[in-house]
Amino acid sequence: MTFDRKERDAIEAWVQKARPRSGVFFRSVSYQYMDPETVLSGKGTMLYGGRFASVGTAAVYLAESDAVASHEVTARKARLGGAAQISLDKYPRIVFSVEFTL
Amino acid sequence: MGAITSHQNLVVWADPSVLAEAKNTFSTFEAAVRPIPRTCRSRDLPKTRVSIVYLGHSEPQKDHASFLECFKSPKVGFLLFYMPHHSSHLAFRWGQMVGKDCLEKTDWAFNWQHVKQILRTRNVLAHVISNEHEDFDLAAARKRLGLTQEQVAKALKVAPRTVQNWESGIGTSQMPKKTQDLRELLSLMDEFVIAPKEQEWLQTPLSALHNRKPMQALVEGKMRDLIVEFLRLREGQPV
Repeated sequence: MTFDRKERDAIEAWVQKARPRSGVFFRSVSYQYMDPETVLSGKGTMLYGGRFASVGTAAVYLAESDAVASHEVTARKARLGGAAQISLDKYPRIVFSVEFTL
Repeated sequence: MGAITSHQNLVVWADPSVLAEAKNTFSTFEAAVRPIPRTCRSRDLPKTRVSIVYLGHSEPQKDHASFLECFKSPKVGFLLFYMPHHSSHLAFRWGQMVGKDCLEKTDWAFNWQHVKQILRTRNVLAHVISNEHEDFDLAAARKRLGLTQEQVAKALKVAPRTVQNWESGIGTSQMPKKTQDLRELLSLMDEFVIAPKEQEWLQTPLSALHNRKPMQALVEGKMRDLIVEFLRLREGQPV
């Protein structure tokens, strides 16, 4: 892939803007993954893959707010048949908040 | 089941109304099953590493307060509440009674698999020779999914004759391995699909399956796609 000068400048400017990320982020998990010690292990993604990670890559997906974390769960539920057919009430879920500074 | 436990390790407590049920459930463990006493002092409690409170359908009573209070004693290593019927409301009410003080040494289990898992991590279960596959009824599973023997054969990637044999209990040595995904899928369906809607769900095109029906996906040998989608739901992974 090649870029012209204008594009290179734009990329350069974009890279300059990059800053280390920090803050509080959220993750909603079912009771099987509730152990606080393993909630950041990334094993699930390693085994089953994820949106931005292929199988074999340990990764943890976090959301910017607890509402977004819950929304992701609802979206996945919708893909599997929605509230009319799928219920998440059988087991408790928990939303973890994770604070990090890179 | 080859569950090896010892008396010192495991005591099961149950409300007198569900005592027989608890004895039956834990009959394969060498556990002492005891009724929950009306009044309790911590010196009456046996020294155990793990205690299980079998809740059955029993609502928390006032009598149970002193019993739960005793478990705050340092003599008690770990307390597991086992509620086999998935009632989060009941779990919540018991949880309120247990309170925050006991939080660190208590856990909840809502199915038998989870109980075994917890006992294994606590080294109470020395080893378990799983006989789950022996109990697995392929014909019943097939009928539940509304599939023919030929369709199940395709789903499991075996010959139709093999399915016929397995259903009649012939040559089942490979069955546990080959039906592993199917068993996993059925338990995930138990967890997530609303039971009365199951048949309807099997016939509904899902966007998770590129608008194919779960039943179609099964027959096309895409069982893993469905399993992974459920597991990602458990994990709260973004779409």
